[in-house]
Amino acid sequence: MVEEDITEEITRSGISEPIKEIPGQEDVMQPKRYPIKSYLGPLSIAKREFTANMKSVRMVVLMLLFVLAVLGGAYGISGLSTSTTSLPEVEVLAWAVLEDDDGMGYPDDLLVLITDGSGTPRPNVKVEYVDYEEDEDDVFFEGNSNSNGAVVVNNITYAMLGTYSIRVTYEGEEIDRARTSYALELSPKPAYVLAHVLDLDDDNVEDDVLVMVTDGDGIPIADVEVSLSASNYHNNGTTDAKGTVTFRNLMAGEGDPFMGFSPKKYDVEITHSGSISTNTLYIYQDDESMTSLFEFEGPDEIIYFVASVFIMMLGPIIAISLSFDSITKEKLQRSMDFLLSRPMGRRGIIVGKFLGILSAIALPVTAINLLAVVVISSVTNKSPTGSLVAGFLVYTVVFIAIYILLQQIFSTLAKTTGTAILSGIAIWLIFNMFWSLISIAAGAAMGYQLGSDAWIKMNNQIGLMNPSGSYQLALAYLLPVEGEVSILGVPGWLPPVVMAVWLVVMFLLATEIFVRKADS
Amino acid sequence: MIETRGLTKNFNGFCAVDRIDLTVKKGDIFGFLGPNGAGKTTTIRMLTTILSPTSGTASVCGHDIISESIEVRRLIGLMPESPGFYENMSALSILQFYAEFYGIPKNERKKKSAELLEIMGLGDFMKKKIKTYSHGMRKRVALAQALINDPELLILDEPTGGLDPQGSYSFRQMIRGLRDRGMTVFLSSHILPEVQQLCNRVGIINHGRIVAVDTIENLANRIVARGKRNIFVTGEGITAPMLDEVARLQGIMGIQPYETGINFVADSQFDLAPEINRILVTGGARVRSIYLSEPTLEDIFLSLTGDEERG
Repeated sequence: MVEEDITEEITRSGISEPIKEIPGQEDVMQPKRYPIKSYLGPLSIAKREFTANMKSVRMVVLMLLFVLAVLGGAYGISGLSTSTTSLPEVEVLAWAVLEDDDGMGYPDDLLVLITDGSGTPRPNVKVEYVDYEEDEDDVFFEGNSNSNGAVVVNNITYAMLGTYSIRVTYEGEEIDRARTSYALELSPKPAYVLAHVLDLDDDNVEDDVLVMVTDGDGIPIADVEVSLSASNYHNNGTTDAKGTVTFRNLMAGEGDPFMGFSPKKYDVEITHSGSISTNTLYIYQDDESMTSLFEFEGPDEIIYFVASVFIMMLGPIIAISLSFDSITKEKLQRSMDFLLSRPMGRRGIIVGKFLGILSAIALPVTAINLLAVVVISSVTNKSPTGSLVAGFLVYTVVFIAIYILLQQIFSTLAKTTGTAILSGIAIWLIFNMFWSLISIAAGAAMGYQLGSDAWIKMNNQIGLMNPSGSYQLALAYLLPVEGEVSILGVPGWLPPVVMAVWLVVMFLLATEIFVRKADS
Repeated sequence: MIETRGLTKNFNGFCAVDRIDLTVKKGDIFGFLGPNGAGKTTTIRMLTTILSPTSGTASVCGHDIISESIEVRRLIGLMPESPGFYENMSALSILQFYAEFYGIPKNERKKKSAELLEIMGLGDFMKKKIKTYSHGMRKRVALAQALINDPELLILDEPTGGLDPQGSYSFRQMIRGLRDRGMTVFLSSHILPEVQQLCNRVGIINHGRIVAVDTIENLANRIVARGKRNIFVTGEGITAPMLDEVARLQGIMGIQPYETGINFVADSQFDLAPEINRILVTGGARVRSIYLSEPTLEDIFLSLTGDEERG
């Protein structure tokens, strides 16, 4: 019978040998004891929790989701914003006048002025006079702009037929031909007026006009009154020392934002030394910027958007998913007694678990967030504000830490993992979804109009009371421009303080509840 | 090694452990006996500082369980009743993990963990994940982890629960070995023969109260003095009607059937062995042996805790 038992034990457990007898007295070792430091226990628990979480399938799934949302969001929105926002900076403009200086009856005398986007002359830029239609390589004239940015050529030899144009090459690249403004005058004038349609005020629409007044040698003329007029528009300006004057935010023609506007014709006119010179220009509305539903000014707004939409939603989910069973599982799988009987304080268990889970989340999340910042700045080609990036990285970790602690409280109180996760999801729903309903209800009760300043103020103050709201407001304050985020009614220092208070209170609650609960 | 005074634990008005006074000396293998729900595990949880007592005091390894709980935990090893492990870890890494808490240096952690698992017969399995382990193997890991800090006092809560005879035998051998090394062992069990074989002293707890603490011999003498003895009969063909007839004899106090035979508890005033033999033989049974024994721990236990539960 005993023989059978042994065989059974061996087959059942797969152990080939029974427990060996402990060596007798002669082998007795003197027990070695080492000093116990209070950080040892929490540190071991944190390390184990970190490793276990890092290896878990949950972590992989959650981080994939996070990468998809944050990096995908960052890339997508950045792409969206480049199509509407960053108009390339104008580096070179050409202003050209063809006139009949020598009275031969042909406007074959050429004045070309090269400036940058603000009207300042650019010397040493290659200017050619070519026949684009026949043969681009057939150069009739070639020269470089002088210190005034001017190139003057008399009696350009014409071929019999063809369209002649100016080709300007700057730093080895031909500039857009639309960047050349022409005037054709049959007789020489003391002054010429030329105009370019540009985006001078950086509002992403080319609806501003840079006008230049120059004499026949390309020397700018100051203090000339310039008049700009259209069917229902008239405005005057006076040229500055560079010979330029600007008109901003001109209207395009009829139309609607989705179908596009028709171009609107404007006439520029000057009177100088008794002679009149005119030019014509057209304003087209940039319809792309109007049709886009999301408008982002730059990388800062994109970071803010990614944080307040994707991270605000996913951050708590990650925290909840990785900590809902941190305590219940220990209790249910009965490994808690092993921890409770180790030489360390009770608080050390929950602190160790908290630090382990937090570091396991914070590490990949911060890496992905950093990557998102890199993606955003490389796609938009602009660097985000340093303080916003720092805030984005730090506040995100604090935000997630608050939810880990919240979930640890539920995990300590709940008898089953199901109850623990449900409580976490309920809190997530309340803080991220139903909270706005409180604002709406409170606004209605107070008689505020939805969207009014009074309502926004109250909405912000109510939002501040939950971790997600304080995270969002804390980041909003780091946006260099106030932009579309209204932060009425909440002083700038308050949201980070509220986050810190949440963190500390949740930490104290989580440890205290755990210590008390362990005793019952 | 253990000294308790009026140790009490209430749970929401229910008194699980009621004013316990216990003394366990260095080198003792102390058996802590009681029916299910008597308060054994609660007592152990207080002694191991997992639970704090509602009232009363206790010192373990010379340290107060409340004010010096960390020192207590440093010197004890606990094998809980139903140990649970991190299923995705190997036994070796679990032991190394627990060793960290005691400040054991890294090299030594690994060496010691491997040694203990080797002794437990888990040498070939120590790097396998716990989820592949059988119940018996888990029990061995649980014992190994309790020894990781070379405890002065080893507390075992139902160590052989759920083990088959070979597994239990191995555990008993192990515990004897530990005793020989000078370790004090506090062992809770409801497997009476085990306690009888292993322990030099026993404490019996019932309804949260200690009903007896003594050596097994002293306890047995108390029973004999109360006039009980066992008549153990082995044989074939013993039927229920025969047992009914025996039960009607004057002086029969109880009948306990076992796999190997039947134990008749009898009043020592009557010489009932021949009478029992006669009833069985005339009934047609083949009686192989009749053995008159001194009171066993089971008798002591039953007489002290009442017959309501056999644990």
